[in-house]
Amino acid sequence: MDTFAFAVVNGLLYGMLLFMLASGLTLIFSLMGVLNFAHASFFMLGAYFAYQLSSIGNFWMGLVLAPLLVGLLGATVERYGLRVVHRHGHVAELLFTFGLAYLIEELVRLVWGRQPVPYRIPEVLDFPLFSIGGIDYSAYRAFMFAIAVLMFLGLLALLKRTRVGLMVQAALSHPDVLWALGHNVPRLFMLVFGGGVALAGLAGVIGGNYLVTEPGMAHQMGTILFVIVVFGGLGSLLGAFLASILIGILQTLMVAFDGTLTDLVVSLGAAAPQATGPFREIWTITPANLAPVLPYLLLVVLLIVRPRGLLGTRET
Amino acid sequence: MMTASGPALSIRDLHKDFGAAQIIRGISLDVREGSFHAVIGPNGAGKSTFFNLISGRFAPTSGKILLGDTQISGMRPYRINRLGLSRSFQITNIFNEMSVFENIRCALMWPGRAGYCFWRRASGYRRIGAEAERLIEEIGLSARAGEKAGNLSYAEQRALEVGMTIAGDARVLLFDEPTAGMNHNEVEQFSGFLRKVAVGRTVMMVEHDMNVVFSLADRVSVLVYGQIIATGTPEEIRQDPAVREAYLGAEA
Amino acid sequence: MTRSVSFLLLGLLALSAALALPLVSDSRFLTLFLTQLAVMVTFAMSYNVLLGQTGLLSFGHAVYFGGGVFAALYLITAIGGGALALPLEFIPLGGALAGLAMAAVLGLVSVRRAGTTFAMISLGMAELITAAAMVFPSVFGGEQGVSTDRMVDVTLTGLGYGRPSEIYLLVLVWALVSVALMVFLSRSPLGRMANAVRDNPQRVEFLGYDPYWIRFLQFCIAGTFAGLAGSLFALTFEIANAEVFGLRTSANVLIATYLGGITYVLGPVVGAFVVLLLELNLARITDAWLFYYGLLFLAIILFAPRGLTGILAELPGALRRHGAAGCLRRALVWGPAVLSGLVGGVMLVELSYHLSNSFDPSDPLRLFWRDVDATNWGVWALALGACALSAALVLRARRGGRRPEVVVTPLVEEGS
Repeated sequence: MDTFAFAVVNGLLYGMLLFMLASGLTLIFSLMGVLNFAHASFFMLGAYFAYQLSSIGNFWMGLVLAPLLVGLLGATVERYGLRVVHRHGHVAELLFTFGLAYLIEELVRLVWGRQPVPYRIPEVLDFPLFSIGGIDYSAYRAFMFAIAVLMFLGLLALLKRTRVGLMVQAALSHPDVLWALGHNVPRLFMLVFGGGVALAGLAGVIGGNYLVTEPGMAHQMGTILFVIVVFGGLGSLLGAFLASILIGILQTLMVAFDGTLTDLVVSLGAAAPQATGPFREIWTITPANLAPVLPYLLLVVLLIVRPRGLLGTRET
Repeated sequence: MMTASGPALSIRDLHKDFGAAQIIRGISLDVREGSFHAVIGPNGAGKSTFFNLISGRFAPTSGKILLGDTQISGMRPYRINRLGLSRSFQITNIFNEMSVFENIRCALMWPGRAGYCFWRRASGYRRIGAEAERLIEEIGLSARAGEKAGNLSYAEQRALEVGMTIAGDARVLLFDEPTAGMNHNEVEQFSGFLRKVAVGRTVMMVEHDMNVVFSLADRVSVLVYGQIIATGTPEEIRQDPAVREAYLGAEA
Repeated sequence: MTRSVSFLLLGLLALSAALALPLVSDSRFLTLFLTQLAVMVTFAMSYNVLLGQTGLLSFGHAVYFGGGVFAALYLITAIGGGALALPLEFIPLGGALAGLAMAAVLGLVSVRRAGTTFAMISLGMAELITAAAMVFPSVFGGEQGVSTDRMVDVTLTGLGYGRPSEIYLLVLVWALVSVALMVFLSRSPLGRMANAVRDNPQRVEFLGYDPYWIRFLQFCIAGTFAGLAGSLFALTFEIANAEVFGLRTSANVLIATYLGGITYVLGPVVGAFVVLLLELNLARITDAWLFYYGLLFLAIILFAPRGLTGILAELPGALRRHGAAGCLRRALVWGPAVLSGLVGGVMLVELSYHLSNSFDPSDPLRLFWRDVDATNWGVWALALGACALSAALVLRARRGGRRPEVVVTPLVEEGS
């Protein structure tokens, strides 16, 4: 039971981390109609920047400065890249961000090398907060949780209370209204892109040392991320939230459990099947083996049942 | 050609809601075979939604639409089109990256029985090619046949839009504000063209320009807030006090 | 029409060169290069059936390629073991069938949506297949993969296919047939309607066609030829592992196709050629070649959306507009700026690569035919200097570029 509880809590945390990325991605998509393929690359940059800053100064400096740097970079990319390809349509924009993701990955290899960098949890937070059934729960995880929750509250306040937030909200529910409002739309785009990407950077800062900071982390995170936004329904914040938590918890749970089809058959009272021939692994796969496949499987199943995603309303 | 048989299009108690907003609130209407039927009404009355329901772009919330004897409400647009109903769009809706000729040819493919064929060359369908050339001549774009549609002027794009709508053998044509954005001369020229096109077919048209409506249409329906408040000959509509109050009066 | 004629001539020229080259020289490298080119061209052309013709941006085309690869590997083994009496020359049919079958099944779900959603679904599908293939080493061979031996007894021509030039001929013939078929298909009613779906799927629905069905058929065609390309790959290399399904393969074909130019029928051919050339040559010179590759891709998206073929096709027009002297002047203004920027940029990239990726950073680095020490600040200053020079030149060229327009305007007014 304790293992189960721990898996759920860890899954929740992973889900929150996913949503920190998915929320920015969704905001950008809703407003600009472009799915930022490089979103997870900015997440990775956040982690690397934080590593660099914490090796010069300390973790807290990274926590504040790295997201800002990432946001600034994002705004520059929007201004001088995305805006240029905008007139060629959404496919060109998607291609551009895809090329950007490719380039950022190579850039990271260029500057920090192929191997993981030793980006560590700050010592102040490196102690067990409490322990249940002999398993420690680290203070850093609680800290991550707090940051994620703070970020959502901040985002919510921003959306509800500020002018920019109101415009974004208007755009979320009625995408075509924005142009009629007559605001400075290009500047809004730059702001939201920079802001959304900065959130991904923040997730990178607190997630980079929790996971591993290495050049492959963007690809790993990115593909899950796209599953989440499509699963939740492109453009739906709530859908993205539900999908993040669901996939976060499911993936963590899968790793925590074992047992195979053979076990199942045996427990049902039948003889253990002969594992021969092609695809014989089917009898011996554990849920942990399947964890990487699961999000994609879920996506495909959902798309068969409900092509527009969990809470999606928008045609693309 | 004008026979007095059953209605070409018959609509029964049509409703359409978008969430809480009721846009179409119970329309019943018969469009006679061979008639030129105009739908007029103030902005936001639901005229475009009405056309979108008939042509299958939206599925109605409730109600029936019959094309001849076939119930078409809720059908996908391509199936309705195959049954002989073709429409134009208020906002020009063409294939920008393709030439004028190819635009028209695409509109003739299904009626020309090319289907999803991939084992023959498109240029091998001589009848489709000849018909496309004839049609391009008719809409006055012969000199521009090889030009990319996206490079045409606005008026030329409108002509192409209508050309694509009348391509093929659709018995019922829907025109959604065909003269939108045209200047006086162009409108005049275009009305003559529409009159020619309408011969032998049933036409429904949403139009703001009252001169066009009263010179072309033999039946007029007035749509206000999702309901039809009057249907009759242009003369009857002009005289109708309710219409004058709701619509014409407001504009005068 | 003249454009397609010149393309045809160019194609014939390239074809005769492709046939003659391995006969003239017996360089193994050249033969292997041409074989790979033929495979890549087929694959890229099949990708463009989706992207260029139907407007579907896929991140998972490698799935169908991979399907063809493994189908062919198993078929070749079956022929070699005597279990199957199919001549080796017909292996690509098996690959095509495998690609078609996979596309027909996965396509049912994939093409329900176009645009961004389709792109994401294709990515999800590819990850699903890749991850699943990793789980089943009994079929896909795990890390070391599945291998076979193409030297079987059952052949149509009597060739043993042991020599690279023999397999090259086989691959070339199939590649040519595929390219010809794909060009033919693009001109069929389906191909034309696919263009219409690419431009405006909504309008297509009001012309009697179901865009879903058009996308699905195009998806199947693309899958079929991707599978065929995969089987050509299997015939050439005789080995593959599950990574062939992955994003790297899909990204590669996407980049090659786009670099070549998706709006031209034979654009992917140009793209495949350039990418392969870069891959084989740049990779020998520098470890940072993927970075340059990505940079080139971004530059094309930003500045030349019609790809390299587009640049080539627009050159004669530009020459005519500005005249030879005008073009030369432009080249003189922009050339030094671009050149110094390239030199500075390449130096920076190579230096940082060396510093962060080599075993001992103070080892000498071979840079522009000279050994340099990457830990010495002097080289860095030189690199930065070149970049600064380039920036200054660009600024000047921009200012200079505006001046002629000011001169031209009054001339036009006088004339009219």
